Amino acid sequence: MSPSPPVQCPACQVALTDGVFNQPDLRPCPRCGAELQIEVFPALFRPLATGANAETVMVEGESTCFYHPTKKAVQPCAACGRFLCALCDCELHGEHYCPTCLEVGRKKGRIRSLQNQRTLYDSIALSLAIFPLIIFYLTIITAPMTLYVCFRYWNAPRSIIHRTKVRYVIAIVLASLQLAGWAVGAYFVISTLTANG
Amino acid sequence: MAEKEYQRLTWPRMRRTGLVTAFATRSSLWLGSDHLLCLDSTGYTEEYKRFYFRDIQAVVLRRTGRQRILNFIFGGGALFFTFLTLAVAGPPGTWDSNELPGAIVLLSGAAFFGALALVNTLKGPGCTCDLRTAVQTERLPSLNRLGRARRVLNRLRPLIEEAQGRLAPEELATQLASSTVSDVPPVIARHRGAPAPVPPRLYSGNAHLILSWVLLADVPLSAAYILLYSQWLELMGVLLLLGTAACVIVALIKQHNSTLPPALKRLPWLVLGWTALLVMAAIAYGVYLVLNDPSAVDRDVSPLEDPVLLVMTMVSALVSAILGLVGLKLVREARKTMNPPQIAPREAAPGA
Repeated sequence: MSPSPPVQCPACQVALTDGVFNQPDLRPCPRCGAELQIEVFPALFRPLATGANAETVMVEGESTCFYHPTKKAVQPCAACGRFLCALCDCELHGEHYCPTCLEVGRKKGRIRSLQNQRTLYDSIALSLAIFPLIIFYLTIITAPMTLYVCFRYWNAPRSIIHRTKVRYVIAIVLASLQLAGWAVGAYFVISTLTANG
Repeated sequence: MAEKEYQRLTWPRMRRTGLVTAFATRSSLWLGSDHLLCLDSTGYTEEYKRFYFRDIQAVVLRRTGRQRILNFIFGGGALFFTFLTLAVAGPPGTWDSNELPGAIVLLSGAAFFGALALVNTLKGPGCTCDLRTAVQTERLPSLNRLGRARRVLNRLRPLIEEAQGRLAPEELATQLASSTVSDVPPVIARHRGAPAPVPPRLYSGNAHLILSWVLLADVPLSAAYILLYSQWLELMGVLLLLGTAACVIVALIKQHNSTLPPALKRLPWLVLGWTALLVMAAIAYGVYLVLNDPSAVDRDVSPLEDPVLLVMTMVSALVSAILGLVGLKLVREARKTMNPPQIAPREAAPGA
């Protein structure tokens, strides 16, 4: 069990003591005088848990860890079912996983609470549809790109916060109008050239 | 309709990730069922940090001078445009129909800065907010006002207490008295993608020295511009302004993570602010002149013929001189600190 480091003043980094914690208003830092309001919670005084040690197999025929054949198995992985020793057992919201399944789950987005990054394809599509309008000639390239992004990533995970598909819809409408504009322009050019000669 | 997983706690605010941020990261806070979500978005990607209520150890608010500084800047801008209006068009009762459009443009500048100052005042004092867990301390940029931070804290407190239990004042005192705290500082979490912390560079301030000399060069040029007005001198003035801007950019880049004293690091920012204000005033005055007399576009006006232009040129030269001299002094002091004079060892006395 390792002790928690002290709460420090964000201005002068001095370790703070009682008198500034859980006060209703700002209190000066005893060293630098910075006005602080610090709210502390019981977790501050909870000792940090140390990692469990895996037990070596003593009895022949006892279940062993998939990754460490000499260590005693304590849990099966909730995803792949492999037996895990205390060292390989990773608990997440009451479920037990092996490190490989955790990594795969994080990469493939199967474990939602492990996701820490997402690309917003709907915003990319909308930008592709709107910004090139400043220089309209660019839209001959960007309009098909917009449609590609929209249809390719229509079902891709969007932002983790609530977000609708309205950006995709607007992007598709704008890109379609741009392509229609090019088609009409091309039709007029061709018909003019044909009429002239 | 399915219930939303997250409720918005704060609107996005800029997270400082460096001197120049091509795609500025904006950070917002969202309330989940058992955790606080800090969402950093570039507009095209999002990064998530989850702080579970059971793991939050402390929330540290520190009052900053943000409100005061912004009020000083916005108030200064409002006053500057008000004085410019009075200097150019005279008191409000004396405006004729020719002066009215230009005066309105200048007063709009004053009103804009005044509105910013008012909004800034209404938002309340500025603060920083750090959220601490056992393994990290995370800055929450969206809680940069004390009132907002307290409102969010009041909303989080019951949820954290529900997950961890309540810490009574006497229990806190007992825990603080009995707890063994280590001297190891907590790990400071950095924004993902930000470079690893590097020690400050030793930098002698050459760019700041050049910037100071460029500022001082504005004094003789302004004098020549006033006394010997010509288009060439006007062109040189524009080139000097561009040169100043370039020097400011170089100085800002060079001083980043360097050992220069904070006072010297403020110089490029001051020059940048002053230059921006001067350019805005010049544009506003130009618009005013053109609105009053459209033929002024093609006419060259010497500072001696136009009292407003004369005052602006003189004030610009005076401020440049002050900034330049202060810059030279600060660079000299910084170099002395970096290279303290070596005391020659005293020669041993003969026979000693």
